[in-house]
Amino acid sequence: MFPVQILSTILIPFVAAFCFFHSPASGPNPLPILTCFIVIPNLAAFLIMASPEKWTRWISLFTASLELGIAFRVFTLYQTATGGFQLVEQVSWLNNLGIQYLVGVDGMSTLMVLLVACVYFAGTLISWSISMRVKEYFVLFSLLVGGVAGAYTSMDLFFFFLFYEFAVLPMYLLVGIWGSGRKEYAAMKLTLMLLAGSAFMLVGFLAMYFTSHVHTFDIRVLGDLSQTGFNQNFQDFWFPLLFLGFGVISAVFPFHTWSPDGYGSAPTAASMLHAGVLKSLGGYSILRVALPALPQGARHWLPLLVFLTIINILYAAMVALKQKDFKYVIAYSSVSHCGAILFGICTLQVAGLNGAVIQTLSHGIVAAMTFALVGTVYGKAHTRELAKLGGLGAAMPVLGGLFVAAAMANVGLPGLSGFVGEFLIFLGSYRSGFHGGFDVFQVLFPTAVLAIVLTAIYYLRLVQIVFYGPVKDPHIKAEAKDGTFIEILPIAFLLAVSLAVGLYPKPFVDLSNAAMAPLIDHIGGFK
Amino acid sequence: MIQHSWLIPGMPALAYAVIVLFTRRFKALSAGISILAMAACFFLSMGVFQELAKLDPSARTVSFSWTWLQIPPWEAHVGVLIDPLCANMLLVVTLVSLLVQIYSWGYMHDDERFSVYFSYLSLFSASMLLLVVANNYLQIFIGWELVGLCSYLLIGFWYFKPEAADACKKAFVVNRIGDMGFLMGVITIGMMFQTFDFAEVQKIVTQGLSDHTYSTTFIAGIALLLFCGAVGKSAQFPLHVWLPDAMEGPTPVSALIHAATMVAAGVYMVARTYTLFSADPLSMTVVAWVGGFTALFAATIAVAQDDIKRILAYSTLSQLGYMILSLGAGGYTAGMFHLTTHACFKALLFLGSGSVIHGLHNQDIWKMGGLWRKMKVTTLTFAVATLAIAGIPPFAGFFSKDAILDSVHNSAVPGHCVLYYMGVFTAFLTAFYMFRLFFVVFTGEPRDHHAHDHAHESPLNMTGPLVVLALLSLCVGWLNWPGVGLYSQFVHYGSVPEGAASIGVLLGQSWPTLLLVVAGIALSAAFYYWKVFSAEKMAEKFRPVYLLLKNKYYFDEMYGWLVKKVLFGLASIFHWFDEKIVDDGMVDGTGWINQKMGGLLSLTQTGYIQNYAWVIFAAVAVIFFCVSF
Repeated sequence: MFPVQILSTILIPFVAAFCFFHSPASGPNPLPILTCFIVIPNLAAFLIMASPEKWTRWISLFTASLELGIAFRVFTLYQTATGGFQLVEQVSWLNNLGIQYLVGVDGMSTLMVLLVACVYFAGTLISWSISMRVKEYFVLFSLLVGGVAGAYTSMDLFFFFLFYEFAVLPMYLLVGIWGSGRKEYAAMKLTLMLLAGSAFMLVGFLAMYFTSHVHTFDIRVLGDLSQTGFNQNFQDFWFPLLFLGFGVISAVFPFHTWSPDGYGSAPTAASMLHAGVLKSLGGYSILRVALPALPQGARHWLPLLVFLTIINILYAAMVALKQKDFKYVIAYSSVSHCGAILFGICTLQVAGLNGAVIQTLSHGIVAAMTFALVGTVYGKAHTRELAKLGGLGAAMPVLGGLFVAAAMANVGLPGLSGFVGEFLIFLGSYRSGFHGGFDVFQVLFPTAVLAIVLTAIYYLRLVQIVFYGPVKDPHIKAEAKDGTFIEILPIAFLLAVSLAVGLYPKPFVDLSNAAMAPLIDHIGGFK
Repeated sequence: MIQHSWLIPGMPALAYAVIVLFTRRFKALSAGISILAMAACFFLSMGVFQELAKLDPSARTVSFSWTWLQIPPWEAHVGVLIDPLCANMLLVVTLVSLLVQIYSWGYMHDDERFSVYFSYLSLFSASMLLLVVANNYLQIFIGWELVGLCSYLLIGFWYFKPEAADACKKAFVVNRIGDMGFLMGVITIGMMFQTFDFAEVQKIVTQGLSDHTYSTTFIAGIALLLFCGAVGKSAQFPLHVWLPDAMEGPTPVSALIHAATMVAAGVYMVARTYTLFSADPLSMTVVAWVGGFTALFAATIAVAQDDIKRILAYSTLSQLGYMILSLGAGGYTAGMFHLTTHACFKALLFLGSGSVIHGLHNQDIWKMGGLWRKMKVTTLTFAVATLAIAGIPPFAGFFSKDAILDSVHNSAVPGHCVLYYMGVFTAFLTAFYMFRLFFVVFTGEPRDHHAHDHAHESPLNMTGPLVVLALLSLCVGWLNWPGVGLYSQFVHYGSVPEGAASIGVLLGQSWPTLLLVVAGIALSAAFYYWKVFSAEKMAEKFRPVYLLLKNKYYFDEMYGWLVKKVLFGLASIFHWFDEKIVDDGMVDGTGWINQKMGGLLSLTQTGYIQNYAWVIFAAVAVIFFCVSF
């Protein structure tokens, strides 16, 4: 009976939301689709507060499925042939300050909307086993999603910043209250470092706002100003600051240490949502704001900043080799993969940028899947210490098999999403290095390819330690059981998404290229 | 038929999905689906082959593709390329897969994870066939990585055995090292020539070489990058270490993946991209020498091994070395022909050893002996395979090995004379160690009576494939019968290679090699059948050499040291740096400084009105001072 209830709570709202909205070409939608996407999780938060506790999970699942339906609708509604921002909704807000509520999606944010919905959906199911302060947990969780949903669809920098801050604060409480280990320390560290990053971001936004004589936060207008509005000195000064500010969010070296501690302590769904969605906001913002507005600064600085990102890729992979905690390995792997995203951006080449976008999507899905697996295994084995784990494959064949799949997705095996992103990034870096882009890539291209070996080493080591070999701890053997339906479902769902991207990447790359090709033309990047 | 050839990788892929999603709980059904899909693939491949053979020799290339992803103006495709090379490989892969799957039904019958096993086999066949039908560099790389995954899963099939868990990791990582080069090569091709398509790259390279747009050294560089992948997958020196360890997997897997098909993918890839390799003598020389060295190097190790499967594994290394050597020396047809014959007799050897292991539950040859009394079919078929690999006419190995040695002899590669004698000496060693294995296992008196009493012939679904493969090991060589040369006319690069005019001429030119091979067999018989000499005394007398060979030249120890000390040492340094300097130092340090600064500043907040009054007074005084001067 239980799976039937779950499946109907998923399918009914999903199909309803998908069918409710139609193409703007055939008349206006009864409700603005993107605003619905932002408002529904926030609304759910209030609904959960007002209803009895036994409804909490079901409301949350219902909302997540609604969001998934909307996201798939957005995905199908976006016309790659037309390109540009679509489904735009605009409301004047503070006109004399140039602030307006302006949401819309281009190809890149369409993918991000899909990512947010997928991770939200999977995270809700994974949180089913939460038993402490259930209502508060799901309220914060929904608010967090509302924040990121807004950040990925805002075209106005003011609202972008606002939504981002909305997302960070629930994260602090989620880690601090429902976390494990040194949770207070981790929560504080994560929040402070992210806020420091956003301080850079805010100052950068304000500098752009005041320097441009138009006084606007509309990113389309700021992008157009890059040629006339911002002079070389301004761009050279502000680009690295913005890059590092956004970089902190994506855990760029040396501002990455919040990530392992934060993810190590966060509850499973919070790690999933943070690694999958919030962390990607760094790379996304560079592509969305920093590159279009400050292209000359980018050309000047990227050949230097790229060294930080290559450190991310290789150094984090090396550090991951020596971790003693299951979840820390995944956290460092996430740092390494985010490095690859930023590395792709630094190529300033069209394939590299597309690779960065696809890698963002892929890393989001795959990191969420891996964290979900770690959390589920932890819930059964009651320890994350690698020294105590071992031979779990016999007790948990399905979870073990899924973990191997997740490891392979991280390793960049063709057929799963990781390969597409990585491959495009490598293509971009080769092209940038050898065809009139940044010469540094002649050295960095082969260096970055080393990552495919290092990643394989630490992931397979992890698979071996945790799932292979004989069982080390008899207590674990007695208690460990394979995943239940509700645990397997979200992981299998994320795996299916990763497979879809990996097996037939064309629709996804078409979407990202609909945003990246004009961007490259606009900023004079490399082809 | 040819237009439906995309179904060849498609059907096993579907079988995999069906088994994983639906029929995991039903053993027989899963195996049935898997075998049925493979049988359909085999018949489809036969159909493709027939249709291709009917075409005019110049028109024997059919290719079609679909867009996989695009970033205009650049596109990547998945597609199918059917030509003689591909058709040859399709037949080999589908036939051996089919036989191994039937055999596995018997061999794995008692295993709990029977369905999982068959799902992996299906996934492997799908990936391997995807690689074989690839019409572009990206797709061959995709198939390449996927067979690597299947190899990982199947080596680690008994994951609870620590040796298997180690071996599968090692196989994957070592292959990845090679793939790093391969990937760089593929990317270079894609970005230089703006296409991944084999035919188009061939056109561009040929054009570019003739009008000097590209230097031959540049093309050789790309070819060598691709060759890194082949060195990994085909387990050539120095990336050979994973293959012997891969024997931890179930024996049918060793037969299929680590003998007949996947490890031959490296050879196939070199043949597939032969335009790049043959552009410059440099790449050909490297390929030939790597292959020739591996052939000899692995054969010497095989002489001193005790595990039946490991002996066969080193023999596989050695035979793969032959194929690579042949391609490097310009013997395109000979290399591919040896791949084909080797697939038959090596699969047979492994399946035969599986039959022995199935009967005895042991892999140490010194615990076997006299098995021919108990296992007649296995012994007979194993004997056929041993004769074939040793290169005794009229068995298959004779024809292909002789073609290789002939092409090395006539090659233009620097040092081809040395390579030729290395090849001949390897043939001698091969005959010696293979007959050593045969005599010790099947003849003489049983060494372990307890095990011998329980030994039994395997069931029909295991001996059936053995008999089929034995027939093939006998007959496949005749495809290239001197003077007729059906195979040479079908699979060739450029013009059809000239073989010997008749069987008499062939025997006339190959008698020195044959003599050495017979000498090898005789020597082996003297040691292990007649026991005229004692092997133990020889080992005692040349102890350092024996130890060196038995320990495989200590390569595992060396690589183990590199990983443990160098890689993990570096990782420790990074880890220390991350924990102490970055985290404790910079991050927590910033927090600490802020706290202390706050502490210092908080000293000013005394709460005494007098103190504040003093500060105000002082400030006013300073301002007054500044303003007035």
